[in-house]
Amino acid sequence: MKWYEYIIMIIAIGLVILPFVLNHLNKKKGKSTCGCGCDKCSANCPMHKRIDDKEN
Amino acid sequence: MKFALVGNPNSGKTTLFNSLTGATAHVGNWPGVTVDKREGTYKKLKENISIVDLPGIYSLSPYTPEEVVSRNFIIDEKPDCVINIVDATNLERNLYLTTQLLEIDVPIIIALNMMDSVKKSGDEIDTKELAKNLAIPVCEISALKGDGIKELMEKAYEVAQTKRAGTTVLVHSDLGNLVKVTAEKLNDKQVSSPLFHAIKLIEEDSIEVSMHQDVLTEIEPLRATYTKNEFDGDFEGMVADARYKYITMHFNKIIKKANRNSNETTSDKIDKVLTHKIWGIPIFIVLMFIVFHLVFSEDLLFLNSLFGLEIRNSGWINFFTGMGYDGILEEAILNGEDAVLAGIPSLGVFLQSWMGWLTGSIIDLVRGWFANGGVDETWYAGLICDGLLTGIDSIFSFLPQILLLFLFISILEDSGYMARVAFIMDRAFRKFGLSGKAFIPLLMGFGCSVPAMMATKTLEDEKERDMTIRLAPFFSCGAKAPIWAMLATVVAGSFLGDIFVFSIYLLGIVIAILSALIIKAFSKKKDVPPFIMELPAYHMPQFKNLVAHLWEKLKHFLYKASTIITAAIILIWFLSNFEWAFWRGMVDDISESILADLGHVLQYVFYPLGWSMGSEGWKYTVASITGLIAKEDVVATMSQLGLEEGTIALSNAQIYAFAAYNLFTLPCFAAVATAKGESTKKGFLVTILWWLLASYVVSMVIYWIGYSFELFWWLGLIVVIILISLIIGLGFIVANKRKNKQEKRVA
Repeated sequence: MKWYEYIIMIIAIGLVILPFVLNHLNKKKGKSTCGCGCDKCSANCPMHKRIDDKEN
Repeated sequence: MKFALVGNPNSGKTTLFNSLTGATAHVGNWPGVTVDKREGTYKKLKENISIVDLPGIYSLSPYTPEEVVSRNFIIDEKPDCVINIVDATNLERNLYLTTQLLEIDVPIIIALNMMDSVKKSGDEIDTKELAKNLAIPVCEISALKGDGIKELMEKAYEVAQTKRAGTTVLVHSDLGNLVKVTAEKLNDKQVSSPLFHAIKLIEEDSIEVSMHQDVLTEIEPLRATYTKNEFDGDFEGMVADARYKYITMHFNKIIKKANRNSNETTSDKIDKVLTHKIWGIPIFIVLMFIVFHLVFSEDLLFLNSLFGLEIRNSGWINFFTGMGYDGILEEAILNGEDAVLAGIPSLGVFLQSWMGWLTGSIIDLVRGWFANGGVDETWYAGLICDGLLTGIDSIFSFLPQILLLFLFISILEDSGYMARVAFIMDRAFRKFGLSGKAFIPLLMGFGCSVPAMMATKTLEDEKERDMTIRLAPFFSCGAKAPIWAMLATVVAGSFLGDIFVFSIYLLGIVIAILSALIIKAFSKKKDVPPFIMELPAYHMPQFKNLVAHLWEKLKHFLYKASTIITAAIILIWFLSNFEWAFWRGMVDDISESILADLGHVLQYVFYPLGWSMGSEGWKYTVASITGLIAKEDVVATMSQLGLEEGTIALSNAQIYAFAAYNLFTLPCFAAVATAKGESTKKGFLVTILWWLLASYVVSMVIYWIGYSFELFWWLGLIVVIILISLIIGLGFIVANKRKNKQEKRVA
């Protein structure tokens, strides 16, 4: 394999791993994890508190 | 500095918020659109002001999550100023919340919104008198038109520099003494906003009682003197009555209504038709069909089917088909016919054909570069051209149709019509155990199942929430639209494309109703709670809001395309071009690949559904499974495996069964994770099983009915009759079970 083929392969593997990395980073930051931007699944959503309280 | 926007739902808070902050927050016309707070910055004053858009509320009682969020924010975070947005066209109703806000120790200003509508109707509001009565500033604005906003913010900034003690309209009522005594006791305890807390305590507000039980005990003897009246000890009712009496007495003279022949507004007149108890639902169905026709039809207005319109000029054919004349000519020569375009394609199909030409040209260009470089047979040329570009091309070519579909749905939403749909569906859905309030998240499912499932947080009943989450994916989301768009091009007959897509959406609603009926019959669920909702006035959708919606949709699509979908495309390319011993290099025949092996094993599971039969059946199986990652992947995978318009050799029955399977099966991983987070444990397990069962059964039934009709029409008829008899029989069993349940309850 030539050197640029290795680079293409690394980029391709990186693109496959990218969604998992972004998901993990977004979760850590408390942001929405599906990319929809509605923030409804983020840690900021005050509805979480209501559900947690209810379950307690 | 921090300012909070507080007001009733549909009073224009989010419109004002967008105007102040330049944000693109979604402006919807039903409760539940803003269920959390949004923050932005206003930069046109001496200092930057943080603006917080709170959910729309009717009062500060802690009954709904929106009320809790808003109340907690004002009391705990103590904004520098509260901007109370009051809908000038519904002054009396909006002022109820104002009377509660006045009781909090916080600077307040009223933004009297929709003044343009008031002036248009010829009514007058004496804002000076209103300000004098409430003892706070009142600014006239039109958030939609951007009028008066600068003056509002300047005044709010001025007001924020001052301190304000709470005042109450109840001081003039019979409860005046009780309020005064309770407030004094709380003031002695150094409670901030003692007036607000005192009145809430008198109402036996659960939060206040938990915090000040001792004070409640102290005032009990005084409260007891108020129990011998028509309210029979209902202090909340007494307080509400006192507020409304004050509002009616003092603010009726502030509004001067124009002389009108009737009190009916334009919205009322339109609603007489659109929310008619018989014609409401058929009108909705017709409107939705028109939308699908404009997006997916290959024969606009049925000009070919009904009037025989044909286009023969090559220039015009190229225009309408995105340079597709050569393809049509080739097929015509094979069939010994003239090259003719049957009818005019709809706008969606027209845009899709040109997008396809653009993306196809890019792929040809890149292939050309590789060919010129002599590297077109390499693995990386295959990855880029046959994998990435082909996969992404397959979804991007449908992007114009998806955006157009969203544009039409946004127009219906922004005009205020979709709120009516929830209202008219309440009548129908109630019979199946769901209220109109549950229909709102389901309607959101037409966009994406994730926020639709999250919106079920507003439903109080746990079982209703589980059921709504279960049914949300049946309302075909935007990610599935490329699948229907692609299959619509394959369905035989030029006019069937839009009918096919329309029927898929309709099928989703029908199966959702049937599911609700069956689940309700076997559950211990109580009666459906009543549904009360404010219907916003109809108005022309604002162009900038529509653009904002489309931009949000496009951003979301681009995010998904560049991450999850690209990852899946690369994975599928690898699995379909390499064997298990991948170090040996790419395979010559796709049937020797890892993907083919996996697909061949799994395709037997789906044999009864019809679409996984045959030598290519494994491809449809694999495509459906990749839909778990993202539904757009179904089309991307099919394209990579060579399944496109012209190469898909399924009968109409198989196509429909395949579509039905993908409609009802497990949604994408994000939606499944959301369902898990929002449902009860038992509810989630039932949901997963229901999705698997519904997709399998419905797909199988559709295939066998369609196959029977394709063999002999009378055979199809027999199958349909047997099916209808089974459904009626099931209906009798369900009805009997409900009757027995009711009799047991009465006994």
